[in-house]
Amino acid sequence: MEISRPNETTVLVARIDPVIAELLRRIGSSADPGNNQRARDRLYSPPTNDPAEANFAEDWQEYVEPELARLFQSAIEVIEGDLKKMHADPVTGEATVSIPSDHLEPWIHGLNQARLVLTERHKLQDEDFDIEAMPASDPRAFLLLQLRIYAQLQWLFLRYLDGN
Amino acid sequence: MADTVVEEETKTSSAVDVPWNVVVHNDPVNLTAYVTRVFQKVFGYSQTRAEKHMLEVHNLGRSIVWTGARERAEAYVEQLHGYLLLSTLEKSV
Repeated sequence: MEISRPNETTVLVARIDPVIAELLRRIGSSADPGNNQRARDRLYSPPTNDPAEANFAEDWQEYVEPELARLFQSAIEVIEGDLKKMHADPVTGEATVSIPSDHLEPWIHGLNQARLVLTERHKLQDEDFDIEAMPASDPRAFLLLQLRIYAQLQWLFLRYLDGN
Repeated sequence: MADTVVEEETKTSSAVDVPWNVVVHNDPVNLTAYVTRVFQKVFGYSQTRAEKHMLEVHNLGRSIVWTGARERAEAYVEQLHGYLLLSTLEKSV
């Protein structure tokens, strides 16, 4: 995979391996907590830990959380819109996707959301992130690859936003 | 009756005036560069100040990133939740 910025308005992600392309297509579904309570609790964490603020917490659930849900969904829609234009080279199978620079924020957000949801859905612990390598037969191997690819993209897009 | 009214007014004034902390809590997933950027964007902090708070979160488990009026603190917590940082509001002691 090669990432470049051919001009001020575009980030080009090219030579995307078919496996990585599939991981990119999964950002939207990965970021969706569905009915998984752990994932939902992470996306919609309480605004206070003070039991005396129960009314505030209830109001938050009623009024703020729907707004947050719309915000989260809008980032995913931007990503999925860009990915619809991803095209693969018929010979090599490698894909290319062009991302407008003003879509970098939603991409960073969506990748972050996907990483958070995957971590909660699969109950990963801190130490799981420290594993350097694991056998491909381990069911967590593909998950960790997915998380690392998303983190790497997020980091690179953050650098682009910072002008580096 | 008049005494009761005065007492209620005093309580209301006290509740409004107390400063509130916006606290950000650690989590193992958010990238440090991401957390720093969110602090810069939400609070307008310099890179140095944003990194100081990020490192507090990372090393100490939490950081008080802002203190002030309740209404503004609520707005900041909402923004931080929008960026998926674990953030809460608490009375400043």
